[in-house]
Amino acid sequence: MKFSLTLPRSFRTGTVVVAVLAATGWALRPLAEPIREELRSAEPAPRLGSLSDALGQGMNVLGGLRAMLADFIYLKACLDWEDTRLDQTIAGLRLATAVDPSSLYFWLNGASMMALDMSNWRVDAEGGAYKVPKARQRQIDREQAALGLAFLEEARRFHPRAPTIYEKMAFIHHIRLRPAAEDEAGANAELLRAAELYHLASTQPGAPFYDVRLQASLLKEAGHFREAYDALVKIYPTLPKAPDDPGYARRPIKNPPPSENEVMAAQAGDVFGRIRDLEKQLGIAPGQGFQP
Amino acid sequence: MNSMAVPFSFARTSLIAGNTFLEAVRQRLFLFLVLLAVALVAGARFFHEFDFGPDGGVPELKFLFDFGLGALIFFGSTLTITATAQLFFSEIENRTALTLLAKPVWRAEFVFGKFLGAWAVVGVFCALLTGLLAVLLWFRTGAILAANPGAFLHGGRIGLGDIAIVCGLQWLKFGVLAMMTLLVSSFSGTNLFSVVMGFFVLVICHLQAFAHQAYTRVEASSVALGLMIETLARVFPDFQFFNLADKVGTEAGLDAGLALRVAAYALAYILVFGFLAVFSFRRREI
Amino acid sequence: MTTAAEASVPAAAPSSGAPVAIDLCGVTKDFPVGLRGLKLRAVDNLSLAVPAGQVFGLLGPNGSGKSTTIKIVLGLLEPTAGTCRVVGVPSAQVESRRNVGYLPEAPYFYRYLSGAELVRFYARVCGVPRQRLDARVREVLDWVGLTGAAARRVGTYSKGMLQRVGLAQALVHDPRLVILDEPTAGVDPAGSAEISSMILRLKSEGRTVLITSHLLAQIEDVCDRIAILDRGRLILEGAVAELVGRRDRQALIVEALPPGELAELRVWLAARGRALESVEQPRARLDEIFLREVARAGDGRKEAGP
Ligand SMILES: Nc1ncnc2c1ncn2[C@@H]1O[C@H](COP(=O)(O)OP(=O)(O)OP(=O)(O)O)[C@@H](O)[C@H]1O
Ligand SMILES: [Mg+2]
Repeated sequence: MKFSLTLPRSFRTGTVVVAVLAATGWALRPLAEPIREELRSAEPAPRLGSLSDALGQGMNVLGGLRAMLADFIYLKACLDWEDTRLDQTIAGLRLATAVDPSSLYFWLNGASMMALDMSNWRVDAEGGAYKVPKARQRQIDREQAALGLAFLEEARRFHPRAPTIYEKMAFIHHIRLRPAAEDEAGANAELLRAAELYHLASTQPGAPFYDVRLQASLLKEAGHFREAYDALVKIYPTLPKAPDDPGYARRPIKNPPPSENEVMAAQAGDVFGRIRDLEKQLGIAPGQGFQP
Repeated sequence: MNSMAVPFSFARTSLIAGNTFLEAVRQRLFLFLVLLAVALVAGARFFHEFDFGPDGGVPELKFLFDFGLGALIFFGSTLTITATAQLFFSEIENRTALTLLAKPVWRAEFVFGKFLGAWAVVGVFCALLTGLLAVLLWFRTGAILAANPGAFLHGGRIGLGDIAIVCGLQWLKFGVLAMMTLLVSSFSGTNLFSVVMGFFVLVICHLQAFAHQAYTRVEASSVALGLMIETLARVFPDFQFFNLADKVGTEAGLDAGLALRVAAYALAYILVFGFLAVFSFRRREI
Repeated sequence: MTTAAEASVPAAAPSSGAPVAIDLCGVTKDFPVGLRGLKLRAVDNLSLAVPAGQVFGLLGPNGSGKSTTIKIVLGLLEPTAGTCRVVGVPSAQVESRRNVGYLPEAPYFYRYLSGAELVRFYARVCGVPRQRLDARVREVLDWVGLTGAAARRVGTYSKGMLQRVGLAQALVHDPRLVILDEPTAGVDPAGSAEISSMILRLKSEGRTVLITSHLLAQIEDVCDRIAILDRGRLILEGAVAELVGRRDRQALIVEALPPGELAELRVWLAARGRALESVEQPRARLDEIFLREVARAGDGRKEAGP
């Protein structure tokens, strides 16, 4: 009797609160579920047993603070990078991208640090470019490039349509792996691989115009004139030649008339000149070649 | 007795809200905003000086935005919970609620007045911080573009509208959080208990995504258990919804329709928690 | 005059037959104390009717349940049993507080507001029309003698000033029923006297006043009816005049008599079969001296401001 007066009321209130909230949750399902689906689809499914994926998922709890935490870790990695502390830098980059894989910048810059800067550090640590045998230097370059490429491969899971990732991969193949190849055939293979990656980049939404130009010039360098020619001929009609060019249909997402900057970046005239050059090299008679 | 009827009055509610807001202002609650602003400007300066490499403009803006938003979320959550609990309990502990509720004032007017006052405090905080962040970003964007007109060809430019949407959604989330804190306060005996519970609930709401994953797994093995976890998972709102910042600065940009639906979700929860807070407070002894 | 035994029966309409402002019927209030579900009965089966237009005093030792009763009347507490109506409206309803002014015991207000802002806030909450607001606020602040301190933060007020500003907020919306819980606690004798005369003025304007106090002399001066509570129970209720008047005694105050004449007076009384029971030196009451001296010190004392 003594107890019965207070306990039931708070108990009743608690029950009502929980019941109403549960009912609200059910009632709001048509509103909430699509939102949840939309947010979930933006993230790749975590791989089973992957520590970094689990970490990234766990960091969801932080909400908007997650990006800031990742920024902190990345800044720390940058400080380690300035001090050329190799292991710490790599660990920091891995952690930062695990906490917040959505930042493309972390992946791209991290890959550059791994593939380009760190091989120099290692050579320096072993006595410098004059002392360390060339073969050893090439081996270090290949090891570091592989590290950077693997890092970018990981990035592709989160940003499958980012042209910059393919560009960075192409760049590593071109700048690092080609000189580090053991023989002429290997070097050529790296060139072709880089050209292929630039082509991949050029097919992604929002890709810059220069991807195809780079692809063509690498193909040309490797002696594949015909492919270079085909690539340029294929791209030329889609390039904006003047502001308000109606035929321009390059960027699938926002499709405003081309701006002055874009016209400049497209360099349609330059592409046309290259086409003509390649025609000469391919022995195509004037007048028989490409007609815009 | 109809001529004597005292209907629920928005005027009284806003009076109570105004008084609550005034209390926060006169307690110099906003003074810490000055410190925060100084820190943000200093941060902007730091990111400007920091060497982000050849096309450093894009990451510079990203870092500035992340830190500004991080400060907003972190201090905003803290402010929401502590200020709401404090503004509520100052009335109870100083026994001013005694005088106020002895007037022809509905308990619902009191609860919603307290809510609106606290939410306005958080709103001013959010607006000032967002404004400062927007100005800093706008300023830096201009400088970066002047140095390199092509800096943002591949995205990375942070639109003022996006900032407003992201920060506005955070403010709505704080509204839900404030109302939840009020619900706890409506039966809690002390300020400290409300604050601790407020943070606890905040964490739970951020963990909702896990609960949802959990019940989809469990449902396969046991329907009853799955149903139970699902019910539990539905008791709290999911605060992950309010976090659309990932899309800012990308080519796709923010989805305004999605933001609108999240806003509707927040308002629905504010009303439901408000109703429950009134329900629980209605018979509290003052 | 009612005794506790009779009081358990729902209160009969008071002798005057006036309409009832507050009607408590069998009100009991238990507070849970301790963890083991122990209860403290603060008000025990209280039935009381406060007639409209009178000053009603609620007396009793500390902890006898006076403030608890008042909170029940105002709907701040819910009675464990029984009903309470204010002008016929159950206390649980907001409407019942429409025409009520309340001064809580040991009041404490929003420290960050000035006195004028505070009274203005409550006036607006009570729906005082905007065009009358400023004049009304000034008026009540003047009544309670706070005009000089109206611009100061309430946080800087002394105890007595808090009591005065509390009185101002209780009266600002011109309520028909005024409930004052120890209005003179912490107020100096001059202020006490002012409050007494204010209560009498409220009564003369036809308002009902419910007041609790420990100053029995004051209660006696202003109240029409009183009720005495002890440990939550009503032990005595009635009109003051009936309760304190003793018809079998009289006091005569005369100029000091020399001993011889006093003896003669005794003889004169004895011849008529009467006895002189006691001879005392009447003493001026300390509060009268206080009031006289303070009044002499200056008239500016009225305003408590600097
Ligand atoms: N909220 C509460 N919880 C528990 N007990 C309470 C509460 N409020 C009052 N009481 C108890 O109820 C009893 C009556 O208290 P109340 O304040 O009504 O006395 P009072 O007559 O106003 O005394 P005073 O003359 O000292 O003001 C006291 O014993 C008090 O301890
Ligand atoms: Mg009392």
